[in-house]
Amino acid sequence: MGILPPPTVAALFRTRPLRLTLPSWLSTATSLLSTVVLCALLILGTVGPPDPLANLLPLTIWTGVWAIGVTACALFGDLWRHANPWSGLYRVTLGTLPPPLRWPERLGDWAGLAVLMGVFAFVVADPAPTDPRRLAVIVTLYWVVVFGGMALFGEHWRPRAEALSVLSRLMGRVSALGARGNRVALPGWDTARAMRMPMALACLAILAAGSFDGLKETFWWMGLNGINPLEFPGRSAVRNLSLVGLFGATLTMVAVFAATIALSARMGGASPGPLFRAVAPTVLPIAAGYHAAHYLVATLVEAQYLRAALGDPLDTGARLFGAGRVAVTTGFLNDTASVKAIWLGQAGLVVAGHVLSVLACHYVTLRHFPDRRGAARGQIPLAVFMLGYTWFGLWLLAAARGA
Amino acid sequence: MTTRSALTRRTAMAGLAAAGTGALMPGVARMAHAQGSDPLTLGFQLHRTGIGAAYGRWYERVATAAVKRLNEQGGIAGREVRLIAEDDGTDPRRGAEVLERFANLHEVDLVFGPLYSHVVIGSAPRAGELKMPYFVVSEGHHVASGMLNRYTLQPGITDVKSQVQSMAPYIAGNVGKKVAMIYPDFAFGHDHRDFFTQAIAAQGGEVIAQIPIPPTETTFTRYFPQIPRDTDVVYHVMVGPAVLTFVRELGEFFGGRGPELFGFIDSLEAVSLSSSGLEFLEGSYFWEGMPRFAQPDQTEHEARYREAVGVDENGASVSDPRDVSTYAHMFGVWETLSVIKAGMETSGYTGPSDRPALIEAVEAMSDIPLSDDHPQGDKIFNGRTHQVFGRQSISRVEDGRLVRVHETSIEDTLYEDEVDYTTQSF
Repeated sequence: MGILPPPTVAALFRTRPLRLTLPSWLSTATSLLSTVVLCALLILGTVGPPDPLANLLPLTIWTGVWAIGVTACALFGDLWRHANPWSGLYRVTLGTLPPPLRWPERLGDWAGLAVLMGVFAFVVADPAPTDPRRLAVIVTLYWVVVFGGMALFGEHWRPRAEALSVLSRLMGRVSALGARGNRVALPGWDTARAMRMPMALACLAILAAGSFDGLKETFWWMGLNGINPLEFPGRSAVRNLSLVGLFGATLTMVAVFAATIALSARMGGASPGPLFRAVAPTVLPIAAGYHAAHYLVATLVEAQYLRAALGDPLDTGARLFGAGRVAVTTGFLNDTASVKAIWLGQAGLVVAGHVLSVLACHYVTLRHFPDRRGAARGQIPLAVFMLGYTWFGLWLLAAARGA
Repeated sequence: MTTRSALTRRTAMAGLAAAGTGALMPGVARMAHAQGSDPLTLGFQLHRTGIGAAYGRWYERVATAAVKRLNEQGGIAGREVRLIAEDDGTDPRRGAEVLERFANLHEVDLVFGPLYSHVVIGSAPRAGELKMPYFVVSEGHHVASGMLNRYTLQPGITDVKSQVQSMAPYIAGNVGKKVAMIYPDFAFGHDHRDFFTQAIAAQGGEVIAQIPIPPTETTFTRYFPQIPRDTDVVYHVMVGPAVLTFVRELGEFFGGRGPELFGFIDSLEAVSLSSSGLEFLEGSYFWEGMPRFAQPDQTEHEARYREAVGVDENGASVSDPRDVSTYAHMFGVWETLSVIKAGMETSGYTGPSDRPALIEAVEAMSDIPLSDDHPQGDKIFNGRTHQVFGRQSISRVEDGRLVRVHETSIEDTLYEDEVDYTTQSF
């Protein structure tokens, strides 16, 4: 980490302004469009085909928004600001009225962290997250709760307490454009800024949840827990185990990271609290790289179903937009050349994430230790942590998986 | 369905009278007209997600092709057939929930389709409670063993006991009599171990080593020294993502000078034989439920089946030659739907109250001839055990293709009844 001279690192993180800011009316319009699309999707989820790979609701939520959308935020910034289905409606209905209540400051961003963990728990442990009927009910309730919160506490409640808003904003920081899309530098430059404690913890939680989502599919994890991966008993049989694993992984991540920071602060002569809040966001590129790699294969398959369902949303054999019933293929997983390309692509994403994280961490620590010598010493535990995680990420990708 | 339609009509007529308006008239007229010719709805319990997803994708493709053909031929007893697919996540508990949805939400006429044994075993009791005919395509022995119930039938695919048993005469006569078995250490592997050990003994052969592999194992070389030196045949039934590693390590261990290899294609369903590492399989033998590669003597029925499903002569998708199908098993979906059609038409099925009659009609079936409805081959259905019996193929890998070297008789696959479901009441 200490190889690059400080001026070079500083140059990499020097941002230039961009004139790309969208006018607010356009953001309102895209959000309103998102509300309309969501309504249509919820109707499809309720009365459309029950097959989750033929129904546009689960395909849009999990493939479109969760797998592709979150990755897109890491590439292009916080797109959810414009694409969320609440802001536009709020602005045209309640936007001019003062909110009746004030969000308690001491709750701050903790609600966002809690809701984010709730969504991770749903992703990791729900027995049937893709079931269109259930998903329609859950998404409707979620939408109502978020909009209700905005009605009570104002528009700013959404970015503070809505999970996808938190996730997109944090992942958006990985983008070369930064979360807000108004300045440009090396991807990850926007992670080199300290955050308040709840969001610093959210950064670690995102990394931990993504890692556990991969870990729980490995033979290693199943062997540890006495599960037969060749006759996997189903998500409903491991729901509690997955919940314990998710929260256990998150707590372990926070504990190991805190210990690393404590050691680093001691060795380099810095204050551990601010160092924790400054370094935690720099794990976001790793989380983004792992997210993209983890969902790559599933996306390559499910995007085909998404395309088919767009052409035939009611599963009636229609062929809208020139699509319709297509023969979904997984043949690329049967071909040595394409499997190699996919694996190298995944490994490349993971490694690229780590390189960006290491650079951001380096940049941050240069400013947090009193001198270069302190920084060089203080970076040792952080380098061990980062390299350890690189090894872990690549092991996860290569490990035998079931379920 | 008759009862339900009548009730619906009565309710609608009452509503019409109360409203005192003709606004509802077109709807009522249509409903009355449709009575008796409503579509039949078949619940398709599908492994859409979870570990069964690769099979599920092809089962869905076959079911869609089979229903399209049925409807082009006039449906079942003149009624259009509609599929409603529900994902069970390859999860036994969800399987039972899916059956409830089919019964209570979708009000289907029957349910068919699941493959994975643990899902079938988890779901079938609920089918019995719901009195829902449940046609499984699982190849598990759990139907014929008597473990399930009168509402559960397996008329479209043979079971593992008959498959394994019928391999023994050919292996003992042509490949070798001293067999070492390598199998995953859970129910699936145990079935192979138990059925084959017994069957090869009956042919004068012997299983000289049983080598169970823990299901979470990912490297295998350390197990191979347990294979005795005088082994003629290694019988392997590894499944899961580590299969390619298993084959490569086995090949490297013997270096081309070892015993003959005999396996079940279950290990390599949906996997291309040109995958890296599988070159070690050249010259080895496989059980196949239906030969993946079109054989020179392929019947016209099978050729039409391949075309309808969209599978080429290598057993891969016509739209992507790398996309290898689950060819050895998926015909079971096609043939199950053919049995359902025959059973419904024979029993004069009109609606859910005729479900027992449908089951009795299927139980009464025995000889099933080779035809477009049964492209895998002729079969014998045993109404007492609810299990179908049919010919099995043994293929050898030659130049990366599976070439059939033997087809068993149906008699090779038969065994004593272990249950008589017809004595159970509805």
